[in-house]
Amino acid sequence: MSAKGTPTFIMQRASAVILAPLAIWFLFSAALHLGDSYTEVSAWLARPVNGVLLAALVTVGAFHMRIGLGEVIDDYIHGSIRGPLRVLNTVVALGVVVAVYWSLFGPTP
Amino acid sequence: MMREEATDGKSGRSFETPPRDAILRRLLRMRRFWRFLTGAHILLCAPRAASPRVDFEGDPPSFRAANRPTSPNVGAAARKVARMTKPSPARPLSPHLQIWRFTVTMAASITHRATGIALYSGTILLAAWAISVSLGEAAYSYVGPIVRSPFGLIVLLGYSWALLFHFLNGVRHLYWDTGRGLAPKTATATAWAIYIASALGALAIVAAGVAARSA
Repeated sequence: MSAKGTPTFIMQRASAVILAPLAIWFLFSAALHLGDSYTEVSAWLARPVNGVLLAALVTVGAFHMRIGLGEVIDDYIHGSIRGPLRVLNTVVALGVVVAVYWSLFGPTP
Repeated sequence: MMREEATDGKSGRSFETPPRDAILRRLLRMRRFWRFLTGAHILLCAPRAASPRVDFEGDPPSFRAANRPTSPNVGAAARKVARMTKPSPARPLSPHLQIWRFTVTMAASITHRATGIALYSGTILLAAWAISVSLGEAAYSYVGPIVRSPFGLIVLLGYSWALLFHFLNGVRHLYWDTGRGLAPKTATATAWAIYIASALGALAIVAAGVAARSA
């Protein structure tokens, strides 16, 4: 991440602008629906609006949080574990996207 | 200045050799360009350049006097950077957190990073929640009660506050990027406002959510 500072800086701001409205939507949705019963939750997720917005939030959010934690790793971690941690950071960000996509668009039980 | 007539062997056209000082100037340009390419000029010269202009808008005179820029010693700075790339444990560290006077702006900056890390782990929890929903009712029957429990409520409140704080401070950062709101008074006021607004907002939103759920 350290070798391309300007693109990273710009992408972090661009993803922040996209995330701002999605974050507000998610703030209210989480407070209202995260603890609902199974039927309510799956009905809520099955609605296209919620599915698309959640997918967008997680996609852009993973992109944003990967850059952010990469910056934290570059700042505080020195030595040989920095490289593996950067890889882990990318793997976790990708994993979150794959998990949410799978639960939204994957097979239904 | 001596000018010689020479002949190109192939075409037979004659051309003029450039004067000696032009050749020297070209050589000097090439050396300058080569130094620019290799970056050696940063390491070797300590330019006696004019001091950079620093905007002390809104700062007290004592601060201005203490922080007036001196002429930069680029060579020394570059050598310092080169040394920093291989750290030795014997070298003293730069002034750290406990040296500086504590300010809200500083706290907001630290909290922005801390909430960012918290949201990272919170997003992993969200992915786990989504997977449990897609796995079916049996899997969700373990997750749902945890979310509804007092512990889950505390996590939800913490997540909401972190999200709201990071959102509001992110907007502050985007506003700063336009070059506005950077004066010490404004930055301090917005930092306080964000702490208060995020705490009240998160409480209100989670309380509304719980009330709607139990109704």
